[in-house]
This record gives sequence, C-alpha cells and structure tokens, in this order.
Amino acid sequence: MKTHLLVWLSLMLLLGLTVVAWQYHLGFLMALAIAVTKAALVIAFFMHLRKESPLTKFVAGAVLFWLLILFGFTLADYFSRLGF
Amino acid sequence: MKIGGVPLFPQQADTGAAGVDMVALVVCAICGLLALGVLVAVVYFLIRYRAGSDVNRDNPPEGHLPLELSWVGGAVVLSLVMFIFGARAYYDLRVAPTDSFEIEVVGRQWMWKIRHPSGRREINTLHVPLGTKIKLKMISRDVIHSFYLPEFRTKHDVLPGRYTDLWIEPKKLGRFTLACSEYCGTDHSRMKGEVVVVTPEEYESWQALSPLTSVQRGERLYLKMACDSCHEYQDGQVVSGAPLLDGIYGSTVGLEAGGSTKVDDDYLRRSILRPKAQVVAGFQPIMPTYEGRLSEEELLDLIAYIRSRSGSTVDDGGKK
Amino acid sequence: MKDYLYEDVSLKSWLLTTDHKRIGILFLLTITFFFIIGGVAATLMRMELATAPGDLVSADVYNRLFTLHGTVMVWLFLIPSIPATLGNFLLPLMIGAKDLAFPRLNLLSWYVFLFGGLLTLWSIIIGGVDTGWTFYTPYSTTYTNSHVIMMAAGIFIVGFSSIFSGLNFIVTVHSLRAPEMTWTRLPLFVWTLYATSLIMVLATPILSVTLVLIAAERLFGVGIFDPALGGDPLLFQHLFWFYSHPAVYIMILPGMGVISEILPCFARRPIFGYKFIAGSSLAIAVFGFLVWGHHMFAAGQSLYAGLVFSFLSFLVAVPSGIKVFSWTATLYKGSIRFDTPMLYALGFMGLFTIGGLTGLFLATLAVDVHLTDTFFVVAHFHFIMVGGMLMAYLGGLHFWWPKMTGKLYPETLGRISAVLIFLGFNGTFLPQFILGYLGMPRRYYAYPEQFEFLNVISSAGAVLLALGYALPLAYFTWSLIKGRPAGADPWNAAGLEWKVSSPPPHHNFETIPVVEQPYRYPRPGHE
Ligand code: HEC
Ligand SMILES: [Cu+2]
Ligand SMILES: [Cu+2]
Repeated sequence: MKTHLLVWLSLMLLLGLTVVAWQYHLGFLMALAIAVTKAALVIAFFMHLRKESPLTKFVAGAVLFWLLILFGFTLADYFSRLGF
Repeated sequence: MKIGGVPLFPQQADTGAAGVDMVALVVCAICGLLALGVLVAVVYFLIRYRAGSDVNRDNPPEGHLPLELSWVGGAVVLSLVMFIFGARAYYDLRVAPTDSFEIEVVGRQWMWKIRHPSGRREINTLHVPLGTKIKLKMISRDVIHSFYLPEFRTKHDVLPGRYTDLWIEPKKLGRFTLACSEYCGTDHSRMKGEVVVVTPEEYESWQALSPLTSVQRGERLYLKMACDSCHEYQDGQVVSGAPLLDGIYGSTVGLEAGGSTKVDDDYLRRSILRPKAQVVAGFQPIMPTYEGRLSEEELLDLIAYIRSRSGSTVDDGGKK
Repeated sequence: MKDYLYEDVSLKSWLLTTDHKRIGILFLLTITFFFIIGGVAATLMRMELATAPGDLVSADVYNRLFTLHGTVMVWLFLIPSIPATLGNFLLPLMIGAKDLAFPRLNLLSWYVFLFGGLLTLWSIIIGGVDTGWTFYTPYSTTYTNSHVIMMAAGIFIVGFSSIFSGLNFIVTVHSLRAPEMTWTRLPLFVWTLYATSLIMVLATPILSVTLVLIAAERLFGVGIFDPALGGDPLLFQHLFWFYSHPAVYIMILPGMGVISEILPCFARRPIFGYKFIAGSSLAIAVFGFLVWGHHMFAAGQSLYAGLVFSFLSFLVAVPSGIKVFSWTATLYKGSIRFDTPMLYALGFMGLFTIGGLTGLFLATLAVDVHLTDTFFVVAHFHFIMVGGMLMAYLGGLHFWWPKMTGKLYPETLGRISAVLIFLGFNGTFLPQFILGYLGMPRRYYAYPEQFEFLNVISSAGAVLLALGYALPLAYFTWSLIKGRPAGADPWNAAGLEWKVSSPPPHHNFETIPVVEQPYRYPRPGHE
C-alpha cells in the first residue's frame, strides 16, 4: 500500500514536470522521456510486473521490442524521405 | 509478343523497360529452376515410393543437417542475387537524372491533367518526345491514384498533399497505355489514357501552341494574390517583414521553432498553404493561409515562378 | 460413455457449450456460411470480368463486390479457418489435454466472432462498402460515402475473437501438455498453431487501433491520414500492412501445419527435418513482422526503406523454402498412398510452391514497381491463400473428418474433388499472372479488349473451381447421415488424437495418455 502511494506521488510529480517542461520549451525528447518513465512505473508497480515470473518479464520486454519495430521502421521511412 | 492475336508479352516503349524485363527474367530463371527441382523430385518419389512398389525403404532419414544447412545457405545466396539485381534496377527507375525536363501531372477522380513546360495542357493524354529524359512531377487533388505505364514498366502512386515523381525515356514512337492502378473509387477502371510518343521536332511544334508558360502564369498569380505586398523590397527596405523569395530554392532555411529545412517543392507548397506550420526564423507568423484558395494547378504555377527567381527551371530536388 | 456429439443434443447445450470440440464445430458451420457468401461475390466478379466492357453490374456494385469478397474471405474465413475449427478441435487432443486453458473464453471467442461477422454482413446489406478490403486513406476516411464505419466496427470486433483464441492457444500449449509431451514431441500442427497465435496476439491490436483511427478521422475529422486535415496517407499503409503482412502468415502457417501431419501419415514414414520445420514456423512468425513495406515500393515510401524491406522480404522466404524442402524429402523412402487428404496435400505443395516463388518477383524491387497493383499480385496471393491455405484446410478437413464426426466420406468423390479443385484453380489463376505482366491493373471492372481472351479462360476455370467446392459440401453432409462408421483410427495414424474413439468423448482422455515420439511411422505392430 505504501509503495503504491509512493508510486502515485511520483507519477503526480512527473505530471507536474511534464507541465513545466512544456512551459519552458524543454522539447519533444524531454516530454517523451518523462512519459516513458511514467509508463515504466505503472507497468512495474501497478501492473505488478516487478513481482512476476521471468517468463512474463521476457514477454513484456519482447512486446516492447516488437513495438519498437513498428515505430522504428515507420520513422526510418519518414526520416529518409525528408533527406536526413 | 502475340499468339493468335492474344498478347502474351507487353511492348518495351522505354529505354529502361528491357532492364526491368531482364531482372524479371533472372528471377524467373531462378524460380523456374527451383520449381522444376521440386517438381521432378516430388514426381520421382511419388512414382518410385508408391505403396506396394518393390524398392529399398530401409532407414528413411529423419533429417540431414548438412543437406538442410546447404539448402538454407543456397536459398540465402539466390535471394541475395535477386535482391541485388532488383535493387540496382530500382535505383535507376526511381532516381531521376538531373538533366531531365519536367511535365506536371495532377490526378483527380477520375482523370489525369497534364501540363507541359510551355504551358500547354491536356487531359488523359500525355505527349512526349522520343529519346528524351522526362520527369513527371505528380500530385493528386483528392485520393491516392497511381500513374501506371505498363509498356514503360513503371508506375508510382500519386498522393494528395505531397509531390511524387516518375521518370521515363521513350524509345519507341506510337501510342501506349496510361492507367490508374491504385483503386480510387467508382470510375477507377475508366481513369486511363494514352501516352503519345512523337519526335522531338513534332513535340516542339506541338508544345509551342500555348498561350503562357507556367512561370508566366505563376507571376501573374503572384501579383494578383498580392504576394508582393509583403515579399518585396522597396527602396532597399523590407516592406512588411516577409523574407525575400529570390534565390531561396535549394537553400536551407532556419525555422523559428528551431532546426532547419531544405527549400524544395514540398516545402514551398507547405509554406504557401500552411505558413504557420513552419515559420522562417526571425519573422512573425503574419502570412495568411492560402489553403482552399489555390488549386493544385495554381500552386504548381506559383512554385514554378518562385523557382524561376532562383534560376531553377526544373524540380531537381533543390540540388542546383 | 457417450461421445461429445450425442452427450446432450439440446440446442441450449450447443449454445452454452465450453467443449473445445463443439466450439470447433460451431466455428466450422459459421465460417462455411461466410465462405459461401464470399464465394458468391467472387462468382459475380468473375462473371463480370468474362467480358471486357462493364456490363453485368455497375461499377459501384462491382467495387462493393470485391470489397465484400476480400473482407469476408480474409477476416471471416481465412483468418479463423484452420485455427478456429481444426485447431480448436485438435489442439487439446493432440497434446493430451481435456480442453483448452480457458474454455469459457473460447466460447466467448465464437460469440464475438459471430457478432462481428454479422455486423460486417449488416454493413453490406445496408449498402456495402467500396474501399476494397485494404481501406486505403484518404478514400476511406474522406471521400467514400459507403458504410465504412459499420464494416470497420465489425472487423474490429472480429479482431477480439482472434486475440482470444490466440491467447487461449498459447496458454494451453504452455500449461496443459500431457506429462510426457515435451516441446520436441509436439506435433508440427501444434507448433504452427503456437506461432500463429503469437502473430494473432501481437498483430491484431494494431489493426484494431488503425480501424479506430479511421473512424476518428471519418467521424470527427481528426487529421491522421488525410493530408487535407494535416495527416499522412502513408501512415495508414504502414499501420495497415504491419498487421496485414503478418496476417498472411496467420492464414498460411496453420495450413503448413496440416500438411506436416498429412504427409508423414500417407508416406508412412517419419517427417523429415522435424526441428527445422518447427523452427521455421517460429522464424516466420518473427521475421514476418519485418517486411510489411514490400507493399509500398511504388507508394511513395523512401528509396532506402524500399531497399531494406525488399532485402528482408527475401530472407523471410527462406523458412518457407525449408518447409517445402523437408516435405519433399519426407516422400523419399516412403510407402506412399494416394487417399484424398494426400491428394490435397500434394496439391498444396504444388500451388504453394508457385505462390511462394511468384512472391519473389514481388519482393524484387524493380519488378514489383511494374507488377504491384496488377493481376499478378491477385494471382500470387490467391495461390498462397486459396491454393495454399484452402487446399490445406480441405485436406485437413478430409483427414480429420472421421475423427470429428465418426463417419467416412465417399473416397472416390473425395479424390475427384481434389483433382477438380486443383485443375480449376490453375485455370482460374495461371492466366492472371500473364494479365498482370501485360499490365492489367487490379480492381478494374471494365478492361481493354485485348485482355479478354485470358479473362475468359480465368472465368471458365472458376466454374470448375466452384464445382470442386460444391462437391465436398455435398458429400460431407451426406456422410453425416449415410457415411460408414470410421472407427478410432481409419488412417492408422500416429498422434494422440487417434487414440481416442471417433467422435471423441466429452473429456477426451479418461486416463493420462502415453506419449510417443512424433510421427512414428510405419505404426509399430500394424505394418
Ligand atoms: C501578410 C504578408 C504576406 C503575404 C501577403 C504573403 N506572405 Fe509569404 N511570408 C510572409 C512572412 C512574414 C513569411 C515568413 C514567416 C513564415 O515563414 O511564415 C513568409 C514566408 C513565405 C515563404 C517561405 C520563405 C522562406 O524563406 O522559406 C514563401 C515561399 C512564401 N511566403 C510565399 C508567399 C506567396 C506565394 C504568397 C502569395 C500567394 C505570399 N507568400 C503572401 C508574409 C506574407
Ligand atoms: Cu484509380
Ligand atoms: Cu506482404
């Protein structure tokens, strides 16, 4: 219960940080980093991944990797189209 | 190639067509050999090892690592061969030579509008001079279409909102097929026309029958829309805080939001339609949006004009 | 001890059943219904295309027909075909389990499928959709005035059925195998079901998201795909093919599994290269996700993306090649019988090989530019989907029909149907390769005169094909009433499913079954 409260508090903190980052134009990467941290906290604690079996962790990791394939290849097309 | 009036192989109307057919032939040979191998083996085994035949069946193998690995290796090598052939021809097909001249294509449901450098326009017919490298700069007014020239062995999708291109070099006089090959609604199958390949002389005299060039039309439009009320120097002074458009084509401009971008046709198009999306560094976002006020044809004219002020007559991707 | 069919014959017991075998039968009936609908649309299309001008139906009706045909065949027939029917029925039997891991989820999967399928049909009844099964934007989001949202909703719902079944299969394979059923003893059909389930669980959500985005743009004008709203139409294609290329493997992998069961049984020898076949299924499931851009070589994708996707597409062909090689080698030193399932399996090998090899034309960049969006592509994927998957499905149905119903079908008619379908299929689709290379674009309802001859051959082949399909429908139904009893193991086959009586009892196994090495042919003590 106590950890849950702590996690919730840090999520709120990060939410505040998102707002600050927006106001001070800290950029897209900063916003993304904060969002990823938030997601990681939710998955690890609220979704109990931290206490799950190695197989479950492996599956979660694999799915993340697989999502990166979707984003990675699609973005690769966009960036190479722009002539980066 | 025809047999009894039925065509079995399309004509080669483009200098690149033979190359594409060659690649297809390589793939065909490799695949044909593989298919034949499988067929012969299967039929042989089926006959020889049919139930009841009197043959040696001792110790049927349940696997054979060297054989399996060499099969995998062989398949990978053959794949690489096909890939390389295809990739090289693709590069030639996709990258237009810089000395090509440009014809504009605007696709819409369900017709092709074509405009030549002299300003002459036509619908569903494309006149092109023999032996000349031609770049088709294409955009769609509505949905995705695809500009397909089977006898030239090439096609490319025509997208709304972004210029795509296709290049050809006709090597045969005559009339050839132009078709839309990306499904685009009710009359997709009627969205077709003809490519008419004529001699360069004929093309010149045909083209000459035109009132105004795109650049001239663009200049008129530029004045009519009062772009010059902001984008012009008067007595060495910027009038209303807008960047000068001379010489920008092909350069790189800094953006107010950070970063920079290259000035090419797509950028010019965006700057006119949605100026606030990419504001030039050091300027205020005061330019009005022209979205909905200019047709694709008018945009092409404006872009041709702005380009001409950088001394660039073709869309060379801003390479200069 | 009554079998699962007769244990309780009330309608209620069927509609509330959690028995995987009965749910398999429910799926079988449902997808046969959808197959007939998709087939009728195909017949009308081939009739229209028998003559060059558009004369039988109007262009708008034709466009609705090919959308209907594609949507119904892909999502309401091919995707569930083998996994939801044969897979559902056989997976627990093959691994020595009493049922799937989540029997009620399994039933839910059928209801969800039925509901989504009927919603899709409803969208057709109220006027149809004319976007093609690919729903390319911005046509589907901004320009068409047909019932896109309704159909998308139907497919969205059907997607959940896929996810449920996939999840169920994965958990079942992991947790309910009989004690001695190690991973290397799993029948290859189970391996392919496992690989298929992985794809179903991973890919289907992307399709769902994409359909929701279409609805968002269409209903609320959110600019995602339409450039007029600030979107990008190619984003749709990326998302769509990220699902739809792997979906091709959802459709073909289970077919490969069925063939790997049939061949050893009728060649009376163990399968060649068990580990390579099993491994290649997983390889296909993984690499299948890396090649979707090969649908976009002429679509405005960047040159570099095209090069990468082409290269990877060639590599994904290798695991399929491994399978064909292993199947061929399985015939070596066999004692080959030519019963109906075997004829279907051999037909599959021929047609799948052609389908796979013509895929290499389309993976080759320069050639694809000419061939994409022509009839060559149509022919290619029908060789895989119909020549491959449907042949395997029918082969599997003939192989396990005695197990599922306890009845034998007339063997001669079975063989005739296999030959008829093979000939009719080639007649229909071989000419389309030539049409494609000549430059006849797909989704054309009227076409130039010069293509008429080849189209007439194609339509004539389709008549033969239709006859070939009608035959099994008739004699399978007949066999239910008049068929001779099959006995537990009419083929003298290996595999746990043949150890139980036909039809199997409600809970499959009374005692924990003894597991042997897979594909122990010839059967010890019998031959
Ligand atoms: C009200 C003044 C105004 C008018 C009228 C105007 N512009 Fe602009 N334009 C600007 C300003 C200010 C900028 C720089 C800020 C920005 O990028 O939006 C600009 C930027 C541009 C750019 C990008 C230039 C660069 O260096 O990258 C182009 C191209 C352009 N305008 C074309 C046009 C055309 C064509 C018209 C007429 C159809 C037009 N503008 C009308 C004010 C104007
Ligand atoms: Cu079209
Ligand atoms: Cu694909």
